Amino acid sequence: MRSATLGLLVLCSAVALGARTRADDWPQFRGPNRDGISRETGLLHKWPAGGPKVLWTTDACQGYAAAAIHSGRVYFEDYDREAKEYLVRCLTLADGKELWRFKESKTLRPNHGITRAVPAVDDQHVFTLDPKCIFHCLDAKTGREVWRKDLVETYKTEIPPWYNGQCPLIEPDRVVIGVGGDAVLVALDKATGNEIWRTPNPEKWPLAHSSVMPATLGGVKQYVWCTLFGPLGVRAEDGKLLWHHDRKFNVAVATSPLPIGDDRVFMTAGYDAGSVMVRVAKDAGGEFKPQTVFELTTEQWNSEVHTPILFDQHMFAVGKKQRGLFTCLDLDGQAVWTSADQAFFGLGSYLLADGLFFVLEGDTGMLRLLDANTTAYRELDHAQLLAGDNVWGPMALSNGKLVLRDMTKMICIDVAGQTTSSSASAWGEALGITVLRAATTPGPTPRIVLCSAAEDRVPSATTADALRMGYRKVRVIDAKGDGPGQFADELRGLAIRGDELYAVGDSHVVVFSLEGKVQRTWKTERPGTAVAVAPDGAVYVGEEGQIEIFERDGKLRDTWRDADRFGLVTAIGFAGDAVLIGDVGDRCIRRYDKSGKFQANIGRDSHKRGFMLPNRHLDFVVDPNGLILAANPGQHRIERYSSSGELLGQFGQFSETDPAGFPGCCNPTNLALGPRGEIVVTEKAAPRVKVYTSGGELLAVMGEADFDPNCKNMDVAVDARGRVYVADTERLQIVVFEATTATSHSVSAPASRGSQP
Amino acid sequence: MSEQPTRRDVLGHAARGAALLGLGGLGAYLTRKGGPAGAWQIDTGLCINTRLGLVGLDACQLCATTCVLPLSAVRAVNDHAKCGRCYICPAYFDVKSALDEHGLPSGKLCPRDAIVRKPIGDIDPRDPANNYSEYVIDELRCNGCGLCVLACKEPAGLTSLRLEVRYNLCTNCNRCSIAQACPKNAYERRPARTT
Repeated sequence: MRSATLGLLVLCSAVALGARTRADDWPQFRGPNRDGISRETGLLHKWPAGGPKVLWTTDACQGYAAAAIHSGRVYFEDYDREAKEYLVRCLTLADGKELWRFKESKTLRPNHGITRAVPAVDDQHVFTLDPKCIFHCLDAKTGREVWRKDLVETYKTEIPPWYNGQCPLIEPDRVVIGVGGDAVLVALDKATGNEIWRTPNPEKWPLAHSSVMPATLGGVKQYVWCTLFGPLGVRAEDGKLLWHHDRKFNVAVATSPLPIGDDRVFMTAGYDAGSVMVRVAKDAGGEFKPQTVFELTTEQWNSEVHTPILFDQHMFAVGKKQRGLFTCLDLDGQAVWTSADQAFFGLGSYLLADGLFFVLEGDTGMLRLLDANTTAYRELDHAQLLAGDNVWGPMALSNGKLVLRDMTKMICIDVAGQTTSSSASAWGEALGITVLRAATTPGPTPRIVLCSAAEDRVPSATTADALRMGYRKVRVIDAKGDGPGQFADELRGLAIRGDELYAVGDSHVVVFSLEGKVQRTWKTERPGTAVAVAPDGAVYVGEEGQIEIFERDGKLRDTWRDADRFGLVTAIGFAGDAVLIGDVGDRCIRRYDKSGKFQANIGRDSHKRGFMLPNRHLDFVVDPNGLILAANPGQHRIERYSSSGELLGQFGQFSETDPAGFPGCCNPTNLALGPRGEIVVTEKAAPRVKVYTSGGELLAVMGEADFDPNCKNMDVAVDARGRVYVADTERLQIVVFEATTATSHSVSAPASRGSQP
Repeated sequence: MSEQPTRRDVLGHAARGAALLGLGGLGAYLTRKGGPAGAWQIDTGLCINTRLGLVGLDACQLCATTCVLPLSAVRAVNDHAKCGRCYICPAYFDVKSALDEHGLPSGKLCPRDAIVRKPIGDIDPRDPANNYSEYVIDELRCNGCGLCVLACKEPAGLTSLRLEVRYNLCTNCNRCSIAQACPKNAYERRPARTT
């Protein structure tokens, strides 16, 4: 009996362990078979609340250089900008601990990133082709250099623009790279670096960013590659050039040829090069003759950065059209389905494992988990794991751990559920934020509730359930006219303090009661573009090139002039002793002390060097904890910063169809905070008002028929009762909305702008 | 026998001419004064050349072709703070043109050759393709066609190029012909600066 029980336990354990039935290395670019597919199984098809657990995070220099994983070690290229050192780093896969780093002095300049290649690794060696085209062979255990080959000296290689992007191909007995200059491809002995063969290059095809792919075409093992002058194949045995398809590519070829079977090779690239399918078959004389099967224009389909994945007789990739649609193409180049109206991936990367596509949004760092099928776009889960734009680096998967990166860091997440997460906050910690809640329902929009790490200071009502509400228009304050307390041409800014509504436009300030009666008015020196009331009651009016500070009764207290830093002031806020100024001229938020002394810029450290403001308007609001919520309309999101300027998180994405997303060129344009922590935003083209939870869940949409359709940059303020005041910039009215189903939650601390009792 | 103009005739003609000139000037002044406030400018978020999410389009070029001026008042402007300073700029080169032996396009995109390219910063002779390049618009040549602006669009470009109406060139027509023609209603009248 006892032995039977023991046997049952062993059986159960075996079944449990069998849930993860296979692990795999990811020893080079696109994985063990160079096809973008991991053979691992047993991965999670649904992530825990809060997303997959973040196992570790490490800083990385800006770039796209991704990981290779071998025997529990992670290898990747990096760069130390201060020391000007090229790095190859080796970390443990389990906890990200650095085991060694190879350094070499090198001056590299950021230009759409600095690093971009993936090493190739076996049991003994790590091979990297550095940005300046020196090929390194390192000892995999110690990082010591075993041999090197300078391609510029050896082959007269011309380093391509944006530095090297090619990733070496590792084979059992050799490593193969394209070199340009004196040779097209070379095969090098792994142990010594000695040439096994070289393919002569009489046409002097220059080195491309494309990487060499193994293929069997016409029954012959080949290495296929692509230069700006078209794809080609060489015999693996001796490096003889077997074929070249004369087709011009433009500027740079970042993608690699994709063998799809039946002697066909698919090649796609950016810069209006489109795509081409080539059949490489022998003619009657036994010579390889590539022939075009079909071509696709850029308008039809192309990929600019990543190579498609072949799965179930279809090709899957992020296309360039419409901000990056993940697309399933049949082998005739026809789109079977796309992610249109559901998700946009920019130039993000993707990986296939266990019937799942892991796809990164290149503009936001959102990771989406998709069902791999040829029928329809079907999303299983998503998580905001990375931040910022240009999240283009490839991913790597090994032993249930997915390694991915953005422009500042590399992270490793558990996608097999091996590590039971006691807290859903691990990945949030990597972003410097605390995860309160993440929606578990699949959907195209980010529904993640984020707040500052100081959880106890967050307003109590932060979820959709607690705040679900409707709104109705209750009043229109007509402010148009030439009389006192009216605006003839422009109504630009609103603010509320207590029971008074402040409005600026033309060249004066008008103070209304919340019912719309004019209380007082006074002139400003220049047309007002923003208004805010400080905790001490002072009224700050933003103008072009200056800020005027008035007493509550309109008496001028001070004028801050700073033509360089106040190009056009469209928002003002207060955080403790700091005065925050939104400057459209430099697309950032300026922080000043109370005396008007400049302290720092906020939001200028991004890759875009500031907020994206095609609409020439920058708006932000400061929450009761001193955190800054800023609209980044060109990026279609709301970003959260600490008062010191550290980016803590973001939500929102572009969508023309999903009301939770932000449509058009640049939305949202303005925002305010409500008394329960809700975020009220306005949009233009077409103008409307939306309400979100503090984490980005859409609560309400209103005003779609209440504004002049040409309205833009409509300022918004919220009073202590949650009533929303919106400036109609064309009719010069203030439209007031009231919540119809507000909850019984008590009113928490007011915002420093919008609601200021 | 022709009559010689008298001193009285000459003075009379001169006085009438001066009066006409004065009236003309006054009329022009009143027209300006009575015209709409502000100046025409382009909303880059609406302009087809800069609006994100649209690829595979041709630049509409209406800014260059519909302005009432012989050379449009619209110019391309490069925001150098945003520019990637790439060695191969797709807004400078015609990327579809034939390649030279270094893989560099042989043609330029601008039909009026209005973009000036020059290397800046430290130059590594071993690595000339990664030197920074500065791209400056020659405003005497640029006609605001927008070809370069469209080519600088994200994600490959950084959207550092945009079109702007040059106020010193614009005649500020009441009914701007470009605004009438613009398919995206990207022209708008903005308030004049008060400084």
